[in-house]
Amino acid sequence: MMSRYKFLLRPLFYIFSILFSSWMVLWIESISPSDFGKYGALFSTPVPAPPGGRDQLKKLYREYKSGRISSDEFEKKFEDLLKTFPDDPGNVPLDSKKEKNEYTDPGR
Amino acid sequence: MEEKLPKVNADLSPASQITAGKAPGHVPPLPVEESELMRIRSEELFQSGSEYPTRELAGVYFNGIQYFDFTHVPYLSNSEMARLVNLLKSLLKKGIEIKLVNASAQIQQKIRSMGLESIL
Amino acid sequence: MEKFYFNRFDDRKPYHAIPDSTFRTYLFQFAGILTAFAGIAYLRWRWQHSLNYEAMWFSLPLILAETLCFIGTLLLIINFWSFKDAEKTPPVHYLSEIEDLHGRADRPVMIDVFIATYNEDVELVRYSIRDAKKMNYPYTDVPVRIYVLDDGRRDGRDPSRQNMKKVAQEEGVGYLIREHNKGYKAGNLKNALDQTKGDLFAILDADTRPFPDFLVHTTGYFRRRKVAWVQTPQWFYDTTPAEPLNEVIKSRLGIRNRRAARLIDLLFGKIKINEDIFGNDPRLFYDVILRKRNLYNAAFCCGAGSVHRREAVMTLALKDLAREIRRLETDLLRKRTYSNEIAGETRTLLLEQDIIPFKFHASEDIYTSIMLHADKENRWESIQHPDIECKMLSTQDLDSWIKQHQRYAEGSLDIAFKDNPLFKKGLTLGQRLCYFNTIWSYFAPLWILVFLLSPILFFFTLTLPVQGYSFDFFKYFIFFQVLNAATITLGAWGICTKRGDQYYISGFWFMLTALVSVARGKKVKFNVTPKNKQMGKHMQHILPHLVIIGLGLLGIAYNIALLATGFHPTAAGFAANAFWFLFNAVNLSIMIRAAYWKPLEPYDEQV
Repeated sequence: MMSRYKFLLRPLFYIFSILFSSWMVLWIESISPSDFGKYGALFSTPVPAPPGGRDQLKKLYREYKSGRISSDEFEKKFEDLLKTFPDDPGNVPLDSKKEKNEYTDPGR
Repeated sequence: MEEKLPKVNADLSPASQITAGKAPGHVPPLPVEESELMRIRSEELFQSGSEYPTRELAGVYFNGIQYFDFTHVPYLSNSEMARLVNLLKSLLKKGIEIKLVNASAQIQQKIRSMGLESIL
Repeated sequence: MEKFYFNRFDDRKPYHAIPDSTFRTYLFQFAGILTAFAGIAYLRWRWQHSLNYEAMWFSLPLILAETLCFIGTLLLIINFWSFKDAEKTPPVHYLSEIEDLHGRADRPVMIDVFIATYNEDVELVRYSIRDAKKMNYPYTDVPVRIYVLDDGRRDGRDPSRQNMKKVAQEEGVGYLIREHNKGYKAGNLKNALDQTKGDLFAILDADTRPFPDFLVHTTGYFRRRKVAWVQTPQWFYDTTPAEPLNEVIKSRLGIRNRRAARLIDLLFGKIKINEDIFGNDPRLFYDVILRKRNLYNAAFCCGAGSVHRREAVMTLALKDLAREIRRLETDLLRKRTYSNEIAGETRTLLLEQDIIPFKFHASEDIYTSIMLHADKENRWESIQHPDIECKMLSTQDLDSWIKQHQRYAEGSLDIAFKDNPLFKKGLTLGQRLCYFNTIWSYFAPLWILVFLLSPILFFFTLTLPVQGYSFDFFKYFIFFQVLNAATITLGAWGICTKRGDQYYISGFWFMLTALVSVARGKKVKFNVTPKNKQMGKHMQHILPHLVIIGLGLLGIAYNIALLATGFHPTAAGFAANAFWFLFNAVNLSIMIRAAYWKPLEPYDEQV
């Protein structure tokens, strides 16, 4: 009975190999996010600013100023943006008095 | 073929498995076309395999054309065809053309399949 | 008989062919698919996320080099896919066993053995002749005729030269010459085929010494009507032996002091080096690469150690002639020439055109193989026989090695530019990919050069070709490299690929010059490989290697100075590139070592 279906072994093996390889690639990608730089450098290699960092900041400020995004969204996006810059001191909490005054008063 | 065929090349020493090739220098060199004609007549070319003396290749030379009678030639291998083309060349150099007559359908088909119908 | 350096190696025995293993084949295929996916993932990430846009002059060539190199990896995986050895059968007896008779009478097959020579020492050729005469064949009525094909015309006309004809006569074998050298070795073979009549013929080089069962083990394959040739592995039995490192050190440094000698023995006694210093062992090529091409019917002829069906090469020759005639007739018809004029022109062409069984080319063997494989009508087959049936001599100095490999490179590249097998009509997909794999490997100097220069560029410009050596970089890179190494190990199971890898990198310069030479349209010459040691100048071959290593060391020194003074921008970059440079330097050094290698015990040239 089994010998009748022996011809299927090879194609099944190849299909399994392809599926396994696809899973392996996805697993490698999930070890850390595929967007470069989230975990920083392995050593103390300074990471150059990605192109458009300044422009992105301007864009974010404009969106907040025009009311297209809320303050919560602005905070979250601003934190993400800060992480991509070199020499970033880290997640500086935005609830410090000085920063609150700067960013919650868009009129200035 | 299962039965043992008679030996074709009687000049081979039966005792030695490996025989030396005959150096062409052992016989005085012949003019090109004559040596080519001799090869055409040789048993090996037409594979007649007969233990009797080689049948002479029937041919007639008339009006600048050498006619070869292929009545008794069942088949032409590629090697033999190449020899024939070389023979044609050597005769053409002397201004003699070749015509093959009584070639079997098999031979004609073979020549056509090789694309040599315009020269043979 | 005169003694040569290779007599000391006469007792060496050849290796056995790698046995086929279904389990290992499946494991290799699994690893190969994983490698392909990992490589694609790595390159995708590199292209999308890692380019240093501020240094595209550096980033782009490197990523392109990696991509082109990966194509080679994929082609290799395809080539290595599986063994498919042909079934071995007893040697043939009658003509009916190898071809259809079509009404002809049957007879025993006839076998010719051609020993091609040009300027080799006649006493060296005598070894080959004697071994050829010792070949067995079970049927006494099968004539096996041996011919020496002397393209050097050493028939005694020039008393200052050795007399090959005399040696042939003394050994009782045939001697064939021609009065010109048109077509190099292919022309020599054509001359022989014009004067001989074997149904099968074996090609041997001047230094090829067949084993007694050479014909017994190979002629049986021709029962398959479509088999055009059978190639046996070329085994070089005179590759340099391994030398104890302690002895090498003592010899090179001239150490005679007993204490110093004992210390060196203690430290280095167990280590051996310089085995096959010239990388001549072609086992990986014959036992893996070419043998696995049996799966695709793409194993090409390599010249010496092959057996051919006369009918197959003659088909090629006649078809070429017919093609030329047809082309001429079509041209003339287009010009509305009269039929009797066409006939006249055809006759003129016929007189000028030769029937050429092997393509007149520096790489006549591979080119003829491509043409035979591409013959749609006949669908000729080739077989790479797995077992060693003859032994040959290898190059004994770097200059000869370079000349030989440069000829291979130029010949293959010439075919790539003029008649690329990737686009050749009549070849199957598998054949195209396998032939393309061979040709692609000769384009390797383009990316190897980038890999060699990249670390040096970093050392002096302090510019990274990537955005950074981050976690992401290493996770993709390491996965791919580990899988790649595992795949190649499985594919070439049982064979040490170290020398091959070293020479793949180290040979970049001569391959680059070959590529440039062919690209510029320079005619490819057939340089006969010397069979004895040449006391040539090797500096021209290793100067680029020395320059690269020198620049690299200078760059490292400079970077260390910058690190020490705190001015270096990226220590990680330096570490990665330093390792990369050291890897390159070790591989480049093999050719420098080969250039200056001398045996510990000088070989006796002649006794």
